[in-house]
Amino acid sequence: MAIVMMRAALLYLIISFAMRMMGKRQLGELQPSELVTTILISNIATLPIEDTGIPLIAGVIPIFTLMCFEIFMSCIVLKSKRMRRLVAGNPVIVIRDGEIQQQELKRLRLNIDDIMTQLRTQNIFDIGEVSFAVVETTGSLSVYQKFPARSVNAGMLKLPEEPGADMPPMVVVSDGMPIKSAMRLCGVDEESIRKTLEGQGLRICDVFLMTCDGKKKFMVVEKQLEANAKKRGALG
Amino acid sequence: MKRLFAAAALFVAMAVLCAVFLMMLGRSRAEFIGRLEEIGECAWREDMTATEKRIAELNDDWRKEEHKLSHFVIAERLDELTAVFSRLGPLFSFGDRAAFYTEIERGKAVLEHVWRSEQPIAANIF
Repeated sequence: MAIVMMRAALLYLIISFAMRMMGKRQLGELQPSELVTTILISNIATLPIEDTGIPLIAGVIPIFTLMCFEIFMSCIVLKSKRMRRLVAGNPVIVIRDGEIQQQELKRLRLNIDDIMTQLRTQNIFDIGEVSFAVVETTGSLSVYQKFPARSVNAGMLKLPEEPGADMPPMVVVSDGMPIKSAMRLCGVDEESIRKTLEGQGLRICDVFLMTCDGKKKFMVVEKQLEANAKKRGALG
Repeated sequence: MKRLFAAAALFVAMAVLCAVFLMMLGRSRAEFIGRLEEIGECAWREDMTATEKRIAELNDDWRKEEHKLSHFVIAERLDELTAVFSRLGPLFSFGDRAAFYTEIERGKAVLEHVWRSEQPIAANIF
């Protein structure tokens, strides 16, 4: 039993390392080759865990071999467009100017219900509103709506751009810990954060979440347990 | 690019490890087949002391070798060899010579089989 436990822990570390090496692409939507690798790795890993007669190395070597091939393949695919097409396929237009491309749907073995479901998840209920719908190589549907159906945005309204508007709010304090990289991006330092918090009667360690946006506007969420304790103290 | 180099290095390291293992297995096979033949010859000459001594040495050395090989070879195959080697002593001491020689041949055949089944050749791959 102890052997199985230790083998499981070791393989957990090895697979975590392998997935980390394969990069972030592996954790998002998978390309066909990435899906194959992920399924194979998960199956291979179970064998030496379940059967202690199989040497651990007999599980580790195929995992690392698949990992190496996945990395080699992603490098080849990065350099060669032809290889990319061969490995991942091409995106396919399934709706053009509100018209369903039935032949393409047949070729992809997709039915209209699959397409309608994917459209509805993107808040589109009328195919007539779709200018282009593309089935991506990962199997997801990307939709470009016709002009009248598109959501209004600042560009369409020709609104003047505010300074710092392109900067999303960044987490500068998380669970009482200042995050220096986020502070640098927002152009603030620990001292200015400390001063802002002092104005609200707080210390950095009392903060559960603090964000800062491009206009140097802060949003603070106190740690709940400490806030409750304070309240209780005040009541007492 | 760092990942590509790391993967290439790891791939080469694994290939080297596999080659080292095959060499190790080949050496073990040759050594233990040789020793089994030697034991068979000693027994044929009715040299009791030398045969018993060689069987005891074979079992001792196999225990160490099995530990090394168990990192690479499926345990069941090694267990079979351990069973064969551990039967040699009693079979020789208590006089069942036919079974004794059968076990020697079986040991050689299993060693040969383990060696052949680990070869990276088309017959084993497919």
